[in-house]
Amino acid sequence: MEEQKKKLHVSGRILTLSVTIVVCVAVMSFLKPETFFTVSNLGSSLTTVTFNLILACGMTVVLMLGCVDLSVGPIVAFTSVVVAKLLQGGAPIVPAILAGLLIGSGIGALNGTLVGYGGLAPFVATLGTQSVFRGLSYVLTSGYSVTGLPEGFSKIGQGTLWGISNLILIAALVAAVLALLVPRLAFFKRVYLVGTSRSVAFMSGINSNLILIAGYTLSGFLAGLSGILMASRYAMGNAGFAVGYETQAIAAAVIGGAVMAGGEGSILGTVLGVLLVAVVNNSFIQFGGNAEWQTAISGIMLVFTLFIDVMRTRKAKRKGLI
Amino acid sequence: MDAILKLEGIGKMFGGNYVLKDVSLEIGRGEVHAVIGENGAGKSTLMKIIGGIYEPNEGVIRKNGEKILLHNAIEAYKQGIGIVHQELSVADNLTIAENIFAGRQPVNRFGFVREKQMCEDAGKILGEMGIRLDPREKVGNLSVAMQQIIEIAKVVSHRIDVLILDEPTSSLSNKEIAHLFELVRRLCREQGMTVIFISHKLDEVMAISDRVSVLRNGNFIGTLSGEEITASRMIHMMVGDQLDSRSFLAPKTPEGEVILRAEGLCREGKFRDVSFALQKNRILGIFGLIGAGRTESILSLIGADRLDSGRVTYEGREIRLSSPKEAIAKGIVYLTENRRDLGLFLPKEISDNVIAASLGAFTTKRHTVDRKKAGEAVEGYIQKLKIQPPVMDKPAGTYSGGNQQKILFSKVLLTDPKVLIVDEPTKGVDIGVKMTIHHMLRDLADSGIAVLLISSELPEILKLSDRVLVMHEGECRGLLENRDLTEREVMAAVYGEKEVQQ
Repeated sequence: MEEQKKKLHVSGRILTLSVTIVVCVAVMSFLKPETFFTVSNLGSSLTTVTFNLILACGMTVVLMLGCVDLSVGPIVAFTSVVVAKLLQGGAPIVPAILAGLLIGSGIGALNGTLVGYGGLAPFVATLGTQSVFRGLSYVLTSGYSVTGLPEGFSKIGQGTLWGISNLILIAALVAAVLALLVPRLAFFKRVYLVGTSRSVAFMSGINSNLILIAGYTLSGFLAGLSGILMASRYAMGNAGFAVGYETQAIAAAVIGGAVMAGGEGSILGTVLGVLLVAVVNNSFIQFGGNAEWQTAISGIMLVFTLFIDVMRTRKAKRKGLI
Repeated sequence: MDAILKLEGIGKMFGGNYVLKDVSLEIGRGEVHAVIGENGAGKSTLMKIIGGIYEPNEGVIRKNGEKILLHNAIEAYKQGIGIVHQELSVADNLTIAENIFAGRQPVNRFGFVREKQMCEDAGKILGEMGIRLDPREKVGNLSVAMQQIIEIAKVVSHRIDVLILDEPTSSLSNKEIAHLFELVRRLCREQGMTVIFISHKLDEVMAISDRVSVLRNGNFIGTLSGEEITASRMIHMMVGDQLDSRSFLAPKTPEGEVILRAEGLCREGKFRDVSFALQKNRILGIFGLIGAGRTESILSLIGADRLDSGRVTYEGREIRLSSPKEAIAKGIVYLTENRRDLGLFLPKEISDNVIAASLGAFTTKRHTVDRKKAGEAVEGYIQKLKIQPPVMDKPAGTYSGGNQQKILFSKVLLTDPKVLIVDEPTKGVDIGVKMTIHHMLRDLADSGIAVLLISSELPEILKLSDRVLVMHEGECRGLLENRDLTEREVMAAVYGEKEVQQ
């Protein structure tokens, strides 16, 4: 019985989000039947969603740790540039991809070390790496795109399998694997505990610093993966890729139930958060809104969600629950 | 009797359950009125109702015979009622004056704070309380006891005539408690203050109170005055049963070998030359006042803090622990006095808290958490320690202090310790849970565990320790065998003979 109660409790936000998404989609397909459900609309909006989804999954883990990763956008750009340079210089595809994943993970591990052993505030540490790697990307490219990539490589991001874009499949796979692992692995239990209180975790014999490094490394790895996929999708590396993507990832994760203070969050919630932001964005565009509004919209939704969270906490406090 | 406050049939519900039911009591003008009861008896809830923080579901509060309605602490201030909470809320980086006048500093017509006037006013308030401190001093530089007095000054400065003190002595040493009591008496005598005082410690209640009211399970049991205020009577009313809380709990098993020996532990500015030996089946008590370096030396021993020099021998081998993780793996486990910051994950459910220090034991070969095995272990401790309410999925923070302490004990015991170090194991815990914990510690020692008990409560030390190590100002002042040891003998060791003779 206890188990049941818990499941119901967890599904509260999941349910709200699912219903909202379904209602939005229903309303849109009623109001704009001729365009909303067309293959080109769904396809184009889903591909833009994929990068946000992969990044938001990593961000969820970092938020669970009570931290934040502002460097994911620049990691995407830097990885795309380095991988494209390697390929341009004639490196074989598989080693180039592995190098890209390694770079992403390495920057993540650096973030984790700065926050953990270095004791820097997550905001400050990742703000630093954000500038460093965005800047390095521009240094490496002098602002030009790195093009001339082999066709075998661009096929990854442009190709399809069973009629579905590879990008969507990869993002779905990443989300599914994490959604299965997060509630089960002992590692993620430690992540939750470190996020709830680093000092209590330390006294409980949990190596908080290692957990922080591992969490950031995962986020960096996924950002590296996004960088490779983006380079493949657009057949180039570019220092200007993924500007502001970290804000969107944070927004999606928080809408999905993660809290900035740490100790909370779920991959399933984040997936729904990503979808909701995408549906709202798409609706906006369908009604003739400018696509440039995307970042602003996710920002507005983030603030709105945080506001609702504050109201909820206040209510719980009044009831004497906290 | 001239009653300043009259509570009539106060009832308060949380989530459909009564935490206070039909509580009627009178507070006399100018008296020190203690409210006692076990954890969860409803003392704090009752005080929060009088202080305007909670609204009662039933009943009436009358002040000077007139019905008053309070919706928040500010309205309570207007009615002359102020509450000093258990947790300090002073701002370390502000001055004494700024703390006292937080949020209502006197300003000139341009909106700038009138620093000089504020300091003068603060000095006057402190003076009336008999405290000589510079109002320009930063509060962070003061001792915890002084910070508490600043907190009281802040509340008193609202021109109140009813002062509520919610467990004001829990982090004070005996000397500081004596100072606090002097201040309370002075407030009553010179300012005609009425003081309502909440405490767990019966000897303090006896020392200061004119009258004592007892709550049990949200019900009002009765009020004692004068000669009636005796420890056994109060205990009887609180738990409904006669319990002996003082006599020595003797070991039932013979003493075992030395398992851990610490020699000459030093950390600059904190403690020096701390040495002791822990035996299986025995309890070593460490007694000392706040700031004696007890907790600090243990934190360094288990690797949570730096250790400058010293030798630790464990099971015959020299070791140097570099983190609590290593200590726990070796079977040296520490139960903290700081439950909120170092002990429990308050927003997390009980089960996560209990398994937090032994996650490795509940991890399968595939690196997943073995939820069934963990659930069984947690359930076992909930039953064994009678944690109330007995469910696994409520956040630890929603439990009363005594039950939180039981959760902390479950977490520590689940790691299967060989050396158990408990720091103030009954701090902020009611007398019933205290007895349970005392008997549990003796049973654990009898089962072969070496127990190290840090406590500032002498009766607790004398009741449980086979030997007592006395520490003062970072040094060991003596190792005493507990053969009919008296409080006087221990105190003599704390201060050294000279000071006692004076």
